[in-house]
Amino acid sequence: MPDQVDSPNVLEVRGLRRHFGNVAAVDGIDLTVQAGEIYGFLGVNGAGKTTTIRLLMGIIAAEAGTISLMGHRTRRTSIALKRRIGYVSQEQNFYPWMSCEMLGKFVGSLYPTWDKQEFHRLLEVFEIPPLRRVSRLSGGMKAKLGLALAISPKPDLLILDEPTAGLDPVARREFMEIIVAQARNHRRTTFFSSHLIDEVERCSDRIGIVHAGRMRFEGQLDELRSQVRRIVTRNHPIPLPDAFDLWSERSQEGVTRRTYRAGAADWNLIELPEGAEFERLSLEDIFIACVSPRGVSV
Amino acid sequence: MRQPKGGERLIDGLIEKEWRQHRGLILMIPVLLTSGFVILGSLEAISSLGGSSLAILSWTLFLFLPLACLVLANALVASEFRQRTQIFLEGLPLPRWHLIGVKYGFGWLITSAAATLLLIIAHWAAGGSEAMTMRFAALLWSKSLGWAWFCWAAVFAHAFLGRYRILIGLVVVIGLMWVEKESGVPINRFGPFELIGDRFAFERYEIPWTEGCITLAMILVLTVLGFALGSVRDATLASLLSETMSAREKIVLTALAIFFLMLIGSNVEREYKTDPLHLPGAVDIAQNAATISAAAAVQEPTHEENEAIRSHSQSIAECLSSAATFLRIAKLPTLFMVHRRDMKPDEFDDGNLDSRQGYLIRFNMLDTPPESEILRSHILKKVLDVHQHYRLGTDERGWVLEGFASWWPLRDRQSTPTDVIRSRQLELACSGLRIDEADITGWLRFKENLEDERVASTVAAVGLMVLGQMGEESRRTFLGNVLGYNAPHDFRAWLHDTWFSVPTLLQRDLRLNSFQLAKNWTTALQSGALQSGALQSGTPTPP
Repeated sequence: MPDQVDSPNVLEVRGLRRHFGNVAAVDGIDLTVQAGEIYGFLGVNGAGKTTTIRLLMGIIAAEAGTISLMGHRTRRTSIALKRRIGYVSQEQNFYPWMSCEMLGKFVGSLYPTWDKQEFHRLLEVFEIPPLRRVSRLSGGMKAKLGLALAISPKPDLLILDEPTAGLDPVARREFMEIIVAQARNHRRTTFFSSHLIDEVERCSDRIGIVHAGRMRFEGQLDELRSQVRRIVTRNHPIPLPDAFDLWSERSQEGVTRRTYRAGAADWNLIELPEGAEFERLSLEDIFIACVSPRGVSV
Repeated sequence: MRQPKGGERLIDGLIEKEWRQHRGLILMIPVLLTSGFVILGSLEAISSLGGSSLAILSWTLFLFLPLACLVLANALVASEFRQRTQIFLEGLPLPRWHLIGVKYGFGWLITSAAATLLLIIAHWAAGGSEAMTMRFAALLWSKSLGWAWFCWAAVFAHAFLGRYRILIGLVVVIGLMWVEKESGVPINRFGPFELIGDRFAFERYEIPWTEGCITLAMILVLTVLGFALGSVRDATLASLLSETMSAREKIVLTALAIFFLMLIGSNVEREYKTDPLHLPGAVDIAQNAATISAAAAVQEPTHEENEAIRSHSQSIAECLSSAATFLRIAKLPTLFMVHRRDMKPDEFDDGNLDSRQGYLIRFNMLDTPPESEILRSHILKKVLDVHQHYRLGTDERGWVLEGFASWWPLRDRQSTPTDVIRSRQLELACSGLRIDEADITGWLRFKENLEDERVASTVAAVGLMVLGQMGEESRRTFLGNVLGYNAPHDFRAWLHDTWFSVPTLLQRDLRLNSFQLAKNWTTALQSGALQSGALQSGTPTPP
């Protein structure tokens, strides 16, 4: 039974764990999603994004940890809580024989808050013919249909598991714009996973970077940019205090590049010696440094 | 205005979805089963076994209903995994047991309706020849439903076994068939199988409480298993069993569990005594080793029919009793005789009963005379065969049975082997087959090649006459040892038949080897045929 908790956050996860055989798919993840924000859950393939989302949706059970969803703390998401979540999975495995309208009717029967008018409006906005069979929809249309189905019950939280996977760049951008517009217009908390940095950079208020089942970073993008720096030295590497977390290291032709995350430390206290300099990092550089094995050359 | 909760419309939504998705298949299932019924009815091998449309119904239920359940379960359950639509369903606020419950209920309803429909069709096909009392109809219906629910519960659970379900199903079915054949463990007598077994079409009175309870228990267990397998989040056995086991281990374990469950159940079932059929208003006769129960398959038989039933019962009882005394058999299986108005004279239907229950024959007692040698020979042969659990049909023993059954009703009228031959000389002469006297195998081959059963039994009867030349007591001992031994209904019978084969008994009881027997046999046959003058037509010509 879920416990009532007093928290302004829509979603809080603490110490979530799940193994598949000997593989720790999720290994003690902590994350927090605040009300009304768009949260980008970034990670490479196999990092544990989908497993985390399946745990959040109660599709699989957690071995350890707690999930607080909309003020209810639970180990496994109940049906009542799932009714307050709109979910778009990675693959759109709808019944191919159903028409879009029929699918809406079926899904609508599961939600007490289903808004039929809204569903039809969204179909119109997304230019999806209501009477067309699902099997005759393109990948992009299926993704939009999945979004319409997820939004129509007016959920408090929208969870999207790599919703743009398999879409072409145009469809991907269009899809993400719809999500952002929905989130902004209705102040709908949105949690989406992706391995595409530009997508996360463009849409997210806050991000979480997951790797090998663990959270490597959680916060705002600016925070990430300010915390992570790369030091390039020509001779010997510069030793930094332990408070600086070494994310990656690369040496080539006498030049050593080390990427650190400051965390609680302050970069302003670091004075670089002669021959050493900070290198400007893109978000992609930071992400790659973050998900590389610690201290290993990248 | 009160807004409905999700759960209230949920069931409606699920039912509507299942109906829309599978309505074509659902409408096809009655067609499939009716086709099965028609096909089986048109197969002489099947229709002659049962002798009524209700027996064909039991075969249809046994063969085609599980098939229909498999198709249905594949569509309702397995297709969700195959098309990966269960991933879509898992993301919805849909309690799994609601989904499983709707699917189970859907299949349950369809299989129940299909079994009921088949029963109605069978009754209609019987054309009124089966007297359908309320009790009989209720028995048939409840047995059909019991079997249908068992099939559905088993197949429903099986559908959750994932990609290896077909392999597991095959292993279980073939394993059970092999066990039954090799060890003699009567799996076909176990709970649900017994419901639609030998007695299905004939038992009009007795309620199968034990089988019903076993079936209900199995339905319950399999239903719980099905729901448990379906409720496992990953929907595979891997989640049901411990995580550390390999998939192969889990599959083997599940198959073994089901197999041993059935095996244990079958062994428990073996201990139960089989109650005989209850024929309302039957004439019951017990004369020495013979027990006969005879009745009419009509509500109100006429006075002539009652007389014919009594007369037949008496006549057959005397025939069986004397044969049993001669063979030193203490107790013969119960003979059930049912009078059928609609059958032609000398036309017989054999009811497909289990050997421990007895033997059931249906024929027109009014138009078939009680002294009919064909009738007596047929019944004697069948009763002796049932007495040895249908093992006498095998080659080495078969000719003894046929010979004895053919000879016994005529024994008082015929004093020499040639008389027996003469009675059927034309059939024998016209068989057009070369007789091979080299050894006993040649005789058996000759017998097998003859299409007419009467010719075959005549040839076999000659063999029996030849045995008479070794002395009456020797012949009686030999026949008693071949036909009278009631071996246990398991592998011990096979051992007995191996150790006490016909050639062994010939040597032991008659001091006669197979070659000598065949030689004398040929001579006797040739002599009889020559006397009849039939060989002038040119066949057969034994050297």
